[in-house]
Amino acid sequence: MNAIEFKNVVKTYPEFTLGPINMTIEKGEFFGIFGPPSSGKTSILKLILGLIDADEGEIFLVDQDATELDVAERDISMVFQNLALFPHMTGRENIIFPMKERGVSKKDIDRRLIFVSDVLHISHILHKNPAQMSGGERQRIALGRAFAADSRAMLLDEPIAALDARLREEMRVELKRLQRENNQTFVYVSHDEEEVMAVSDRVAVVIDGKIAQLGTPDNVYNRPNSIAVAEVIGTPPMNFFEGQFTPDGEFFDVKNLNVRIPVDGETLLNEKATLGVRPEDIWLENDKSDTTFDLAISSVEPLGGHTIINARLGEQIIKIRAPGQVHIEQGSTQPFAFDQRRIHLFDAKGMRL
Amino acid sequence: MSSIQITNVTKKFDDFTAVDQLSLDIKEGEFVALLGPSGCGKTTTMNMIAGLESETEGSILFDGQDLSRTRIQDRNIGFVFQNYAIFTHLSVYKNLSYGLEVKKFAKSEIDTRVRKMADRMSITHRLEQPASSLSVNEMQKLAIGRSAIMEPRIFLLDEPLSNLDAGFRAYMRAELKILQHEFGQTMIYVTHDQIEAMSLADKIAIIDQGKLMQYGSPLDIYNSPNNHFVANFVGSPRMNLIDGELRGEANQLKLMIHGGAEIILKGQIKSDFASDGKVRSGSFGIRPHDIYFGERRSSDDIAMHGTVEVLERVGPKRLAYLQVLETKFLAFDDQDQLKVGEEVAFFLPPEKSMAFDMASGRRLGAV
Repeated sequence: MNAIEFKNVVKTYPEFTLGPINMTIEKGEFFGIFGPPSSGKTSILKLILGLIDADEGEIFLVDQDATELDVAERDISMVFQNLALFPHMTGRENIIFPMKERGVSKKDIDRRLIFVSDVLHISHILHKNPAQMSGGERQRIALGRAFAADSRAMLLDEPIAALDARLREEMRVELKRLQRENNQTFVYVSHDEEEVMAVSDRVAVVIDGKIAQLGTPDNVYNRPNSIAVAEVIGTPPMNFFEGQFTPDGEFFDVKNLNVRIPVDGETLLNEKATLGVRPEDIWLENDKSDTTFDLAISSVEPLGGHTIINARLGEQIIKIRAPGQVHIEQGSTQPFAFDQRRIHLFDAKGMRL
Repeated sequence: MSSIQITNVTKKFDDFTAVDQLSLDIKEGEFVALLGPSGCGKTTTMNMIAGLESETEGSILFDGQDLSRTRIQDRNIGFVFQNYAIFTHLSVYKNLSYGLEVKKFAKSEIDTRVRKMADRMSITHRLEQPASSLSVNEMQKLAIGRSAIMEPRIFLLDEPLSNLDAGFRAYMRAELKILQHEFGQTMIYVTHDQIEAMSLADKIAIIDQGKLMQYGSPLDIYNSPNNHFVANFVGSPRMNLIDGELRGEANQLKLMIHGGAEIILKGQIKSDFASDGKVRSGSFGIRPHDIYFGERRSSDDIAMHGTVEVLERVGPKRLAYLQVLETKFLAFDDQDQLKVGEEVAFFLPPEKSMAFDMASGRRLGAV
């Protein structure tokens, strides 16, 4: 069953057009929406909520035409980054307030309260007022209030962006578990690529008001369908090299690098294109050979589990993600090679070949 | 360039001790990060180095000299704050030249330094434009450039990257490191972000509740944390730290963990836990990338069984959350072989594991 469906939805603003958006979010799915700031993510949420109306196209909520439902009837919960708790109410009162308003029975309210308190680890702070809680605690109460409502879908707009790094790591797993145990539909919006990729079953990458790619995190990471997507998915980002196919189409010559990559020969003959290589697919070689190229090491970032090497190729900075702990001198020149099976080629328009 | 010796420095605000008996030896040209959670005392420490606060006890020496009677503006210290200070009504050029003009540098010298710095920061094409026309990212670059152009003997940076977006932060991180390498300035960098500290600094001072927890190179701190706080704070994803009660039975030593599961201690980690006979509650630490699946590689490796609860894609790898009764272990699914919901065996190599005393937090045994 579909929870939310967009068919050719367009929303026009004076200086920005969102859409046409086509997407289907399934019931029980953890659906991520990722995009750079002002790419249109929040407008998509507002369309789902009914806070704004589409200029063209149709939106369905569980196979019902959403235009016939006003905001209150849509039965959708929302958690914002800037959470709004009632300051004069305790954590408990904040959580049960929407259920009371809707006339949920006392027995059901208690049952839901116990359930969300348990999964969010908030039983010990339910008696406190928001002013007595830490930022992380307040955020968990806000999440608890949204979860307790047991609505048909939960929209989360950067719900944990304000928390510190450790708590963010913990919360994203809790969210995922909660969603799965409850079999709820989640639409999760964030500009944090790592976060969206970690939690989502499928992710929509929104760029300039359009869905640039929609797929599983594995799919989007391993097969980005354009340079625009490849640039924003993955930290550090993918490296790009300009180049040209040979006239017979058998090889791709990388400009600035003395490297020739065999291709299948059916691609574009003599055309210019861009090669993309992820930082983890470039490695340090012990010796020079005809598949290596030299890079000048400009800095090394030891992160413990892996090492980021920043190297210069002319004016360009190449990022390499080496496994483990690497000892290499800043300022030296070293031979590198890349995995020729794990490359990404994009045509002159930036689309994947 | 200067060396800095901080000796037994304490800073009290009324009854509150913000910095407690802190000692740090910073060598000339070193890049030192002061790392800790908010409120730990790292900014207070930096403010004392800058002369913005005076120490209640202890001393701070610069090249062996006491500067406590020297005016701040004469200390030759450069600052960059999170909320960068830019003259938005002046041109980019004027912003860069301002400090040098105040110090009455020769016109030609000023022009040379401004152009060199603008080139370094790739904002040459912006020199004549008003600073207000710059993007947030460029403004932060300019703020750093303005300070660096004075070639201060010490450069203090307080969370300078925290307002930037993720992509640019990674880029600036690399730029800062190159800059520091080229200028050779002593830099002190305050941050709560351990990735930033790891990637930038020659040495990291980890501070918690006003106390120095550990001081060493990023890899020293990562590979051999002194205590539970440091182990937990450094590393992403975080280290597994599994708390439990130690129980000796016959020839065995076990850590009884939450929900009734147990870790049967072997090899090095067994002697580490046993090294202090008085310890009752311990914490077993192992980093996610040191846990492995498949065939046991050594007879001392500790076998565990758990359920794959969640798989997350984290960059090129998948991070697995393994539930063992009520305890969670994080491990990397290197071979892309795990499935959510399945039961798996996984192994903890003792030589990669760490033992901590729960009561004091200190590391036990071989360090």
